[in-house]
Order: sequence, then structure tokens, then C-alpha cells
Amino acid sequence: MKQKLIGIASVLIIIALGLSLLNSAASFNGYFSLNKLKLLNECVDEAYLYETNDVALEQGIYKGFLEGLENEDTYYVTAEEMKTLNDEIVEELSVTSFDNCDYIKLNSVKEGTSETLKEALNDKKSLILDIRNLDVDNMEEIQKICNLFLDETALFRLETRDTGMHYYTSTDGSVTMPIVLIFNQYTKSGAEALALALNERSLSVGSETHGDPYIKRMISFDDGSGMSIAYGKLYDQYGRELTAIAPDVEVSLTREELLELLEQDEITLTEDPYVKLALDSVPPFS
Amino acid sequence: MKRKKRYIVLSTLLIGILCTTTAYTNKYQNVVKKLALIEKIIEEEYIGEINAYKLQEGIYKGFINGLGDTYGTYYTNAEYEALGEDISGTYKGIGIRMYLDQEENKIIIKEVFDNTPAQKAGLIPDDQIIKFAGKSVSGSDYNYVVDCVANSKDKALNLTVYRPSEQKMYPFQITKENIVYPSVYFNMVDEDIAKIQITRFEETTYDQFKEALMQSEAENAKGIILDLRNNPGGLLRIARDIANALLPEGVIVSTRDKAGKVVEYESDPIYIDTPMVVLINGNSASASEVVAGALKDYQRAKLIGETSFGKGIVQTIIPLSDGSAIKLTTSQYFTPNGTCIQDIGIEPDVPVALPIEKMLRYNSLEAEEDDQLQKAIEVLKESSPVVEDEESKG
Repeated sequence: MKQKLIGIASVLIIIALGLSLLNSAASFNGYFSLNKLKLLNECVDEAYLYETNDVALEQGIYKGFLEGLENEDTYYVTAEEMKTLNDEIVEELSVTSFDNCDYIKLNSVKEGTSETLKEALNDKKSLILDIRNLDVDNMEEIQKICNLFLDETALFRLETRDTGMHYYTSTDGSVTMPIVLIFNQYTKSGAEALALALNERSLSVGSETHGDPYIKRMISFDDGSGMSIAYGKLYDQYGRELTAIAPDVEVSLTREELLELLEQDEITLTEDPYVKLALDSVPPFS
Repeated sequence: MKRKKRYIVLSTLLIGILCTTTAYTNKYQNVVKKLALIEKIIEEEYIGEINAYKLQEGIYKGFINGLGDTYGTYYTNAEYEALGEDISGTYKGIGIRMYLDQEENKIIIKEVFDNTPAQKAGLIPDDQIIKFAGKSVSGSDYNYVVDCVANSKDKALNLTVYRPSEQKMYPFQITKENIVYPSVYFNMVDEDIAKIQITRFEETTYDQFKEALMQSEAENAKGIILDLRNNPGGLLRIARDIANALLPEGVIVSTRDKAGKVVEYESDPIYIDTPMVVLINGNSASASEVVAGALKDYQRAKLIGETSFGKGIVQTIIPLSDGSAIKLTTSQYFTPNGTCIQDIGIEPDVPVALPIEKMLRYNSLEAEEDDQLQKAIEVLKESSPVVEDEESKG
């Protein structure tokens, strides 16, 4: 009888231990210690002068976890931030006509942008293509834009965990007008690949690009929050990782010029030093 | 019967244990689940390098950031170790103080400390650093150079300076050592008035301050200007010791923590009664404000300059058993009059601003150009501020 009792007891103990282990470990891979988090929480409860906000603390955990990757394209997005992201609607592009050229500002690139751009092009004039502050992750669409301007050539490569290395090439393009490209330090990832591809057939003005080889995508979670993940890496046509691209002609402003610009609330297109330089650099249409 | 009873007791006990462990983990259940989900996404899709240590430390950093405490920080083991060096007042370095000449965009050596590698190598004040670690540098590289001198792992630093007085360039190779950096500076602004500047409240600051007081006595100074401008604070304990040396018996400062526990820090009756004024500005914060606030409340000294920063809260560093640590805001402090200066600052008795043009070259400002210093001398010379205040009260 005594043995039987011990037997039952040990079975129960094993079940209890097993259950509690399951509880604490979940399916997590050990990047993190629950005990330490608990300790931090205790310290905060005891010593921190102000009230704490459990939601903010939890968000902090996810934000910090992803910041640990030290990759600017991988970050946590709170449910609130997700909402404002979804609300953002930007006009893909805007066209301004000058005497000797058309100026097109590309604001965003999504599926179909290449079509919109194609319709906006006027092959009787030179083109200024402004890709400042442009951050693109849709490489298929970048390829289609390249198709408009370039003959058959190797463009760039994209590596993902899912499909390995993918080689992008252009088919024969029909548009032959001279191009002046404007980019700056906020021209980022996919937009930099575009700059790189168009560089040989255009004159570039502005300032060095951001130098970000990663492309990202958004993932939504059930609770409304989400994350951005760098899932692809860009290489040039020779297989070198994408780095910052320097323009042919650099826009350099003196401190006084910069201050003067900063003082104005809104500057018109022709006051914009980047556009001014581009307009001065437009080659004659032939 | 007995056995049955025992069996029931045992199973209740076990279920009890099970329930408590479940409750203990439940609070973090969601967190663990979501982290697992994020981790899965990273493992399947992320194309960059993964550093498991940084990921894990990121969680703790993020948790502390989630507090919204401007001064709160999580320190990894390495960061905590480096911090110990930072507040001790001793650093690995070569023994120079540099400043950025913004107008000329140059890095200039302001000071070369005694008995340091820099002095032994032959660097002198006003040398301009034009080359560092084989690269040409200008004022734009100031942060890089400062960071390298302080933090680079290399034992020996290679630099080239331009010496304007000789119009020559000199290359140097200087080996880093442990150096006690001065945080107190003493000089006589004229025959009768001493100036004691405190740049930070560090472990070694009190001893340096006492030394400066002795110097001013030796020089027969009839008045002292205590310069706390641009002093961001530091150790509260050191600020108290300094205030204690300057104030008669009474409360210097009191703190109140989360639980409402009030701690008062008293000054002993022994103090130096040399007439005094204090210079403050918008960058005088925290421990500086403790000293300035106490001297003002006791009317021991008039404050001259601009309203101080307004940091009336105290942080504590809590070391954790695994070698890491956290810094949290743990209490408020109150000046002897009972005011908490958080976000308010301390107003000067005599407001004097410094024009922006002079602020930009603050570190190379001549005494004659320093409007606030000149005002301080004037006020100190008018008469002893203590006597004057008592008269106006009566």
C-alpha cells in the first residue's frame, strides 16, 4: 500500500512539473529569461517613482527585442501606429512642365506605378525624375520602371531566405529622352536600386543616397499590432551589396543658404536648390 | 482511512503548487507567446545577421524604455562596467581636455593635465588636432575624436597637432593611462576674488573642491565665485558634501521616494563663511541645482546668470546579480524651502544672459568677455550678500 501511494504521488509530481514547465517555456527559444524579466518588474514596482503602464511596458519588450537586431528596416509597430500607417495615402507622382523638360516627382511606388509613370511621360521633352525621399520595397515594380527606360540589361539582384538569389533584368525600353535624376540621403533601398540602374543612362544630381540594401514587408498580428521585417537584400548587377550612391553633381549649400531655406515655410519648385541644379543640368533634347 | 486522508492532503498540496506556478507564469504568458511568434518570423524571413545576445538584451532594454522614464536605462554587463569608470572620475585617456571651436571648425586642446601621458609627450594648450589615427580631422570629427580618445581599445593613440605659436606641425604617439580628470578648477579673477568652477559631481570632486577652498584661503581671497554653469550634475552625495562645507547647520536637501519616505540631509555647523556668489545657467542641472538651491534658500549666496535646467528628481542605479544593472528615477528632491524644482528650475537673483554668439564659443571665452562672470564680480564687490539680505529683511 505504501509503495502504491508513493507511486501515485510521484506520477502526480511529474504531471505537475511537466505542466508548469510547459507553461513557462511555451515554444520560445531561450533568447530571453522569464526570471530576469520578473526581477526587473519587481525592481520597477518597488523603486520607480511614477506609475507604470503595463501596455507600454509590454510594447517596450517587443520594440526592444526587434531593436536588438540593429536593422533599421526591422521594427515593432503598435496597433495605434498601424492605424496611422494604413491611413496614409500619398499620390504616386506629380508632373510639372517646364519649357525644355518635364519634371516628375515620384512619391511612392506600388503595383501599377510604372503604368501611371508611362502615361505621364512625354517623349518630346527631356525628363527630370525626382526620387528624393523615396523608399521602395516593391522590386517587381522597380523592374517595370526600369523597363521603360533601359535596353535589355542586368539590373540588380535580390536575396531572400525563401527563394535565394533572384536576378532582375530589363527588357527593351522605348523611352529614349535624356534624364536628369535627383536623389538625396533619404532615397532608400528599392529606390536606390532604381538610381543605380538608371545611373548609366542619366545625369544624377543631389546628395549621396541612404545606403540601405534591405527591403522590408509589413506583417500584421491578430491583436492589431504588427512588425516590419527586412526579408530581402539587394545587390548590384555584379553581386556587390548595395551601398550609398554618389550623384554626378552634388548639391552643396552654404550655411547661409541653408538657414535662408529653413526660414521659409514653403519653398516653390524653382526655389528648391536640388530642382534648380537639375534644371540647369538638363541636356538639350535631341 | 488514514491513508486516504494522507492521499487527499498530498494531492491538494500538489494541485496547490501547480496553481501557483501557473498564476506566476500567466502574467507573462501572452508576452512569451508573442515573442515566440516574432522569433519565428525572424528565423524564417530575416535576411540580416542575428546576434542572439543583443536580441535578448533588447527585451530588457525595451522593458525599461517602456517606463517612459527619460532618465531610465538598462545597462548590459559591459555597459555597467564602463559606467563605473564614468562616475568614478578616473578614465583611461591621455590627459587632455579638448573643445570644438565652432567658428573655425577646429578641434583645439584646451588643457593638458599635470603628470599625464599628454604632458609627458609634450602637448600644450592651444594645439590644434589636425590628424588622428592616420586620418585628417576637422571640427566636424570632434565627436569621433573625443570618442576614440575615451573609448578606443588601442593603447597608443597617433595624432598630429598644429601649433599656431610656432606655425609647425608635430606628430605624437601617446599611450593611454588611468587618469583622474579634474572636475574642479580654481583661479583668482583678481587680487581678492577666487573663482571655483565645478564641471561635474564625481567621486573625486569633493576632494578637489576642498583643495580649491584651501587654495582660495592661501591666496587670501575675500570672496568666492562658484561657477556651476553647464554642470549637468552627477552624484547627489558629493553635492551634499560640498553644500555642507558652505552652509551652517540645517537641512541641505530632502528626498521623497515612491513609498513617501522622506530623508533629510543635514549640514553640520562647521562651514566656510567667505562671501560668495553662484553662477548658473540653463545647463546647470540636478546636483548643481541642489547646491545652488540650498545656497539660495539660506541666502548664503546670490545666484547670477540664467534659470537653471529644472531637474528635481533623483535616479538610483540598481545592480542585478548577473552583472547588468538598471537606472530608475526613484525619488524627488526638495530644496530647504520645500520646493521641488522639476521642470521649473531655480531663478537667479540677478539675471544675466549670455548672447548666443558668446555661448557658441563659451569654452574659449575670455574673462573680460564673460558678462555673467563680470556681473558676479560686481555683485560680490558691492558688499557681502549675506549682510545685505539681512538688512533688507529687517
